[in-house]
Amino acid sequence: MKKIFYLMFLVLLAFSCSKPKEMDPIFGNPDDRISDTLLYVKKTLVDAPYGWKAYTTTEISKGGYGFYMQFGENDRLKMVADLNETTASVIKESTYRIRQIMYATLSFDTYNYITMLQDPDPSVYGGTAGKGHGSDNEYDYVKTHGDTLFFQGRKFIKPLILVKAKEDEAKKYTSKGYLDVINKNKAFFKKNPLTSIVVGNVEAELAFGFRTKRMSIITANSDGSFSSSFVEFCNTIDGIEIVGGVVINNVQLKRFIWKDENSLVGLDKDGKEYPLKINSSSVVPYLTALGASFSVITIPDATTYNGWSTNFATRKAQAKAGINRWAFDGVNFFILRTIDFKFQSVNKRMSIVFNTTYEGSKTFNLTYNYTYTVENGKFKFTLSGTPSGNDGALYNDVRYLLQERINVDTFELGYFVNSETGEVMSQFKSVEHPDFYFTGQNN
Amino acid sequence: MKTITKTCIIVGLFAGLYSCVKEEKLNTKIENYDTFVPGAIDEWITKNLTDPYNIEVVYRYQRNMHDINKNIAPADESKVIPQMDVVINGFLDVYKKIGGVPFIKTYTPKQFALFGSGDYDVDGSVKGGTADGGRRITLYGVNNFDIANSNSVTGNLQVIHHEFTHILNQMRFIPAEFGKICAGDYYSNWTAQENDQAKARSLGFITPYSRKSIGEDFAEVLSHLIVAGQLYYDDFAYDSGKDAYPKFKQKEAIVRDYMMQNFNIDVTQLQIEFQRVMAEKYKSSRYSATTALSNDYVGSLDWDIRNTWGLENTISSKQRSLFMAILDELGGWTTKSMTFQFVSATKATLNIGFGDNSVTYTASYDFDIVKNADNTFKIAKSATQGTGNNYGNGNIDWVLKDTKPLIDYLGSTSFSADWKQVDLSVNPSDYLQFLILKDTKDPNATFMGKVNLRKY
Repeated sequence: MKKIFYLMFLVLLAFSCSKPKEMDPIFGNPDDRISDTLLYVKKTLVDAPYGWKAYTTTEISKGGYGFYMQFGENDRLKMVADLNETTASVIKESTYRIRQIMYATLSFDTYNYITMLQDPDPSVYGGTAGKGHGSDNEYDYVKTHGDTLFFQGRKFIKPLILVKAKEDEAKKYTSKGYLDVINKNKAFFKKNPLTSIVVGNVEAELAFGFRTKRMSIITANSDGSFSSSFVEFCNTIDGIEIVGGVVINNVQLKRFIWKDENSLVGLDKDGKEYPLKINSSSVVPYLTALGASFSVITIPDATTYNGWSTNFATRKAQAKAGINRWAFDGVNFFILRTIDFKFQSVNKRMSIVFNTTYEGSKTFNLTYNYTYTVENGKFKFTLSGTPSGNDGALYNDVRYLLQERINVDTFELGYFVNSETGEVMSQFKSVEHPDFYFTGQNN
Repeated sequence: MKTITKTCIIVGLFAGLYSCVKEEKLNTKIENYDTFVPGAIDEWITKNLTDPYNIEVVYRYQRNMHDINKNIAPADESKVIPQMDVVINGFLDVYKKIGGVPFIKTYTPKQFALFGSGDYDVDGSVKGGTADGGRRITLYGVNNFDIANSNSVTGNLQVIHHEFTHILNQMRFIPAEFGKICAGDYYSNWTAQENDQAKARSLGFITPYSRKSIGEDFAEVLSHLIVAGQLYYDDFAYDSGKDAYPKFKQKEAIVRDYMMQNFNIDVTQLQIEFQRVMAEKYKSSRYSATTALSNDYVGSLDWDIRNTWGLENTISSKQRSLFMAILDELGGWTTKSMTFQFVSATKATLNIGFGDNSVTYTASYDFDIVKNADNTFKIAKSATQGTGNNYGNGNIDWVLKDTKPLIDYLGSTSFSADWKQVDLSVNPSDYLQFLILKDTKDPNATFMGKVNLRKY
């Protein structure tokens, strides 16, 4: 009996010193790893001899923004940015830090151009109060690919892509060359608002919004319908970068660069070139676009305008004077502002709305409803019913435009490029009265 | 045998006991990778704030220093030193001088966090600053700071003094009676449209924000007394109406008492020192006599230089000769009082009381006050005078004989306005007590008057 106790004692003694052996982490010590990553990111950023081109996008305003940055060993950086004229031409210095937060994080920890996107005060650089454009000032390091570092915003999860710059690029970025290219890009697309690019058998129409920093791509589908999409772009030192790229007909288009003084080419990810075509009218036929990409044509509140005939301007002034004879209270007279042509292409209806104001900013509208037919691209409008109420009372005062022209003439509608602003507008041309034509904004 | 067994067991047990004792080395190194290379700004901070006050300034963005749900921009480097310099001059040094070195070193927040943009709340309001746990003051909106604009300077100081009050409140509780003055009128939804300034002041609150809570109210009262100034506070209280006025004054009394009882600090001294710094260092005209006149802060000036104050102060010979002609007697009656009463920023009335033991009459004259471009004032008898007996009295020959020289003299020139010089260590009780009008053509001709503020 006693022997069993001895035995138990011996067994216990035998195991008393055995301990689970500490495992070596497969990927090494996590502490060493993060310190390695921190050192690697900082060293890579600092060691680039000519700095970095950087691109990011914003979550709320959905625009693309370009930067050029030089990182110093002493935690200081220099930057220019594609935000406005100052940011593109004046180099601003601030601090940065590579921090360990959850990952290795690049923190722009004092104010610089990139933080203007994140600034919640709309008076600084627009955006939404409290949120700015939806951008970050802290970016987690994700990966390296060749000469490119990928980061991701900690809060809005937008990419920050850093590409090593070359010597001549650095020189241009730091000597106001960036602003020159931005102005050149803007001027080119203001002069040529209708451009397209042909990839294989697909022609995609491109429109660049230099204020919104988004471009739209419209392509024709095989069934005759059209697809449109938006991507963020930003200006670069040699053209335009599509942040993240865009796929057209299975080809990933990455950027546009200036081929020579007057033309741009698109480049795919392999560097293949696709010339940018300059068009005088949209690839989307006007009749398809009307009611789809825009359905309201707004005649601006002006006395003359690009694309208006003298006759139209006179008649519009007469209608304005006519409306101005009226007031609700005999004191505050109506002032004609804009005129909307609202199209419902599905059921071929159109209404003309005269927007007026009185007593400051109070509004009062006159609405006249029409049906229309289209033959050979020519529009014929027919008034539905007899205007009544206020619309009826003031009907006689708008006769210069309606009874004498819109109601009786046939109209050709088409695209019109405003030579002053570059805006693509709509133009109405009377067939019967060639001296009566006018333009309006497509909304 | 048994002995051997026992020995074995005992030896074995001891062996078992020690078999596990091993020298173990800690296999982890604890290292802080979150460092940065200090620059010129950091040197300045160390020299001016960390070494003397043990204050840390976090100007490089740290998300954990603000509400992590918010989007707040980092501070611009160029604003850090100017902003912190203002903190030193307009806050630390003021309290150091009045409260003493131990006071400010003990109670000053030990950490300042600076952010570039404001802290936007969902309800649309923007926070200018917060205080955490008596240790940290967070200042937002530093990027809008403009050293050349005295309003910008005082605006941020208002925030600091407000937040510092919270820190003091965490050391010593707000007296219970403070909350009773406006009990029932606190309103947490202070940004609501109905809580506009008119509503808040009619209830006895200095700002709509004061209605948020008792603590905020207390901090607003003290920070306004220091930064906006006593005259602003009194004028605001008076214009808030008969019901609200006593509430303002009760709150002021409790705040002053609180500072004195708990920290041995006289709020008036804080006001004097703060306003001196603002005027001298930042060219602020907010507390000048000129501002007081053009904002109609002053109720009236006692011009009866026979009173005690007239004996204690130096009265210019010009003032003495013109005033004594009236004050010695008026047509045989005893002159009882002489008051220059401000009706508005552009109107005033000179009232002279005279009579004997049984009756008192008043002779009145209306004056127009016009502020000139160079911040001086033209004080001339109005073309149209008021009506009534008082104005009739003013036109009596034997009254006019004595008053006309003064009236003519006032209209013949322009005056600059100034407070009597106050030195903290010499005459702090003279603060805002005496207003001096100085003839722009003759610097020796000064008219001193004792200030009376409007009250109910």
